[in-house]
Amino acid sequence: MTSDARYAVELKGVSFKRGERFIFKDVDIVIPRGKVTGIMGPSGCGKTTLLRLIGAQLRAEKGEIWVAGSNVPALSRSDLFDLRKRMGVLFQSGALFTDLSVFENVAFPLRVHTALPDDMIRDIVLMKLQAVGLRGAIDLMPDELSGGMKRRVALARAIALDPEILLYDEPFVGQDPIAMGVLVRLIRKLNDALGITSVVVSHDLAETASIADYIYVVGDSQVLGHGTPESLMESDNPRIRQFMKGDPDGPVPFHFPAAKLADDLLGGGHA
Amino acid sequence: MAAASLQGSLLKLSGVLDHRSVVAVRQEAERLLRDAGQAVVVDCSGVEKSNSVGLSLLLVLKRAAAARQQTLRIQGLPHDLQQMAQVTELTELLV
Repeated sequence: MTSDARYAVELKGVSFKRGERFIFKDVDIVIPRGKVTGIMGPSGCGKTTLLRLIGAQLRAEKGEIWVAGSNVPALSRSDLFDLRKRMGVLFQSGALFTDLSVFENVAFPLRVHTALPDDMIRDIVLMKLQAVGLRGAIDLMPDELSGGMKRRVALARAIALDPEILLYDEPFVGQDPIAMGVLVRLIRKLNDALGITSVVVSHDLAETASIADYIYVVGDSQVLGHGTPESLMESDNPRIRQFMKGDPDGPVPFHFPAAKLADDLLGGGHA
Repeated sequence: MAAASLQGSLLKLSGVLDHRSVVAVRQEAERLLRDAGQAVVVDCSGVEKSNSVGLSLLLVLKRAAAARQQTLRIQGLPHDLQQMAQVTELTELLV
């Protein structure tokens, strides 16, 4: 079992490399049960990799990853399959099946993972679509939906099996302000009403800070800091402060490393 | 272990109602419904844990009762099912 039942997910001393480069090095993260936890950091810092480690789509080089009471790297294939049924994922792209209707997209995990009869599958699909406000779109095809509606259908599908843990991969990317507001409200509502543990990987600061109970800021293959959104805003750490306030320059410099401007322009550098 | 039992017109659901257990409980509950008289009360106070399938089971029983001209009232809905009914806007349908 996990060392502490308050946490739905625990990463202990986790390292992960791509080639010779560490994406994470000896990282410790705890995700409180029943809360919304934001994982934030600049693009390319490994946030999605972190979700894939939790979902066991990637294997860590080192360390323990406890999810819902199981150490994921130590699980057999069939135990992993069972564990994944307890986790829902909202992919960045939505990842709807383009040849299936909205109904069939949401019904898909129920058909694959349960032996429920058709009338009960229909009940559950209608319930989930009602929760995201799209019951009326049940017969539409994905290409008839706006970007925001696609994301909401994907969310209905992600909660079809009543997961304990819901992983959101950049849920706000590419959404207009209204769709973004709808998603923010839905994530919070589903979390609170259904007792789900939510992990929101995002670089959209305002939206994530508005719903997260707790935030981890990652970068440079480490956890740079963690705390409530309010405490991180007041952080003394210049890297965290730069990210939280969106300053264009700071420890992460505005300029990509280059020769001196004068050398390039006046010193007869290459054309 | 999930189960359905009948005491007069009181149809009691109990145990953990999940994706695995619900199909067998449904068959038993539908069978018992036939002998439950005109005014049936479904008591959910013995349900220890459930999810969307629990709400679907209640809808199945509502439809079955309506098809047989029985009235069906639900009582003792546990907190988790109440919360789910609220999110899915089913509260008014499950009285």
